[in-house]
Amino acid sequence: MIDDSTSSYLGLQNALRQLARDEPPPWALWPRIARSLPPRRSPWLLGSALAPALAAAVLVTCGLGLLLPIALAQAATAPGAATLREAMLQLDGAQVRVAAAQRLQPQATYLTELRVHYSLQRAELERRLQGS
Amino acid sequence: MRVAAGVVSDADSDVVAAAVAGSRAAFATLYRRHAARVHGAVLRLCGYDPVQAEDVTQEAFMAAWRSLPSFRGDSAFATWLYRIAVNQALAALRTKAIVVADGCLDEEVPSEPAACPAERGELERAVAALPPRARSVLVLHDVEGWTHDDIGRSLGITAGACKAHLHRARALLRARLE
Repeated sequence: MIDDSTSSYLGLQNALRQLARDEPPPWALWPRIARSLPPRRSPWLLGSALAPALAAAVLVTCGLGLLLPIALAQAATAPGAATLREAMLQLDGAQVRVAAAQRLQPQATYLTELRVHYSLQRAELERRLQGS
Repeated sequence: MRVAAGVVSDADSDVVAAAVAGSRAAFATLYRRHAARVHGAVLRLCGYDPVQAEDVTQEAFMAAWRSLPSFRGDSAFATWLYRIAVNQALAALRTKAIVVADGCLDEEVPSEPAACPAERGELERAVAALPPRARSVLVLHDVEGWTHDDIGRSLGITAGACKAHLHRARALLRARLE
């Protein structure tokens, strides 16, 4: 059994305890740390009551992403302007839903791509409406 | 350990919750509150090497940011963060320690302890000059107030081996201060 608790060491032990003090890091350290922090997905969003709404928004958006091209293709072949305007209304609703989903998931690239896709479809619908 | 342990909630709980939700501003607040304590412990473990201590402190806060979602509040945030920082410092020292540890055990230990009324600067230099493993044990036990069991768990050694390291570290320190 090792016993260092001799009286000769007590003075040094007291001196060592005095070393236990706070040492503020250099001012520049926090900017370095802040730059290197990776982005984190927000667990409050995924674990809260908003999660089902977000999931529904994403599903609706994805569903529209699949169905709208078919509807628009049908509208494009239909003779009447009324059909084109109906397709335009559906597209407007889809764009609103995508925008809402993107506010909840601003870093989701597929939502950005979907918005671009819808914009192009809208431009095509407008072109056809003007020509009908 | 001198940090209060076993605290379920503490003054940081609201800020921690915001940081867990991804708020960098909240994490900056936690940094302002705890950086000095963390950096102090890291600086001592790193033998007062300011460059290494800065790197380790940065790594510690980055590790804390990554691990925050798993923080359950079983201990105070300060305790949790401090342990992360100490583990980061020990990991940084590990390579040096492996090289030097055996040499440390073989190093001749003065048989007669000497009284060492050291000045702070002199004492810091003597602590810094210790081999990494000896310094880790000495700082954690005699400065930070850890138990041998806690140190042994962190270093992956038995409490008995920790006591042996501490005995030799103290002897080396006394010899350097003579």
